[in-house]
Amino acid sequence: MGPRKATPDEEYATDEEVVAAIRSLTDADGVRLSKIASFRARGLAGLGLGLSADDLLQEAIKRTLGRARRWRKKVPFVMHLSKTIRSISSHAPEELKDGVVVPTGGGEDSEGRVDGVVLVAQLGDPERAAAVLEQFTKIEKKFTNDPEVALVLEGLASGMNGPEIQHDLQITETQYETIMIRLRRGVDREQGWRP
Amino acid sequence: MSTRKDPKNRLAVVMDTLAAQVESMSDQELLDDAAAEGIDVKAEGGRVRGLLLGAVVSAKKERLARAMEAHHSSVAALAHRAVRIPSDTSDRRALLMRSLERRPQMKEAVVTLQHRDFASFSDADVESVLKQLDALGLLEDDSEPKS
Repeated sequence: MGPRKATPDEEYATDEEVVAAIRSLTDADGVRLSKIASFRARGLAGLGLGLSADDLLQEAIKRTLGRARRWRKKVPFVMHLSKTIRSISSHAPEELKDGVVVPTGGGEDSEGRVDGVVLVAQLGDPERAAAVLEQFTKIEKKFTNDPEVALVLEGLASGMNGPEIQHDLQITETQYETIMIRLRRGVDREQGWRP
Repeated sequence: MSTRKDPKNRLAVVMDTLAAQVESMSDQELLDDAAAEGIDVKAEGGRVRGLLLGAVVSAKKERLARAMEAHHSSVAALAHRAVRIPSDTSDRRALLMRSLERRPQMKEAVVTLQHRDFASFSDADVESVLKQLDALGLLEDDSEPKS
């Protein structure tokens, strides 16, 4: 007779296991999560949700404990949190469009919607659009003297993925990765790594 | 309709790509980046752990507050229902009799639970059973004798 199969509930972490996992995070894990949340939050700037990197980190924990997005223990905890942050940021535009709702944690209601607060901001706010354009323009200007990064930036902004950009610019994957490092560090220097 | 030309989308797609890159970086690459940007890795690691632990406390408090609210609502609902139980003890006994006569299987269960004959039930027993039946919604149709 083989080992007993875990029941569905045993696959998920308890509150205590979540706390233990947080305490076990290395300093590098902390920096990784912080940077992921920082980039995701900056990506949401155009929506005017006012969500900071720390808000995203806290929201990820609240959803994990509130059962809206439980942690399946076989998934590494850092990966779980980064996926949850990605989910929060990728669904934020839909939540804004559907019912002007911003996630604030604490689980779901009977219709499966996440608890939230009503927003006053609207997607088409021209002042916000101008502010985002200004941010993007600053990043573009930052790389005026680095044409490789400028071209990759333009490719990404146009919706191209890594392989498409490599093919378009006739560069190797290693060259692309090197350019991306310059882009990433440049963006952080321009905006502050935790704006 | 927003498009890729939309500055909001252009910024978002670049930031999402950079976030995805950080997700897949090795620890060493991450530490190299941190060193290049002057990040105090130890301090940031501690800050993030503290932030997440704080979020746990906050989430638990919110969950407790919701549970308390639900409990208070249930108690209030029960109290409201109990008002419909007659105040007079003989009326209570009559209501219980009517209810159990309509549900013989329930009468058997109640008598078994109380470990004694129905006729020997005290007024307190009658009230207790009525409250339990009411909470189960079984007194809805039993308030008045059926003609």
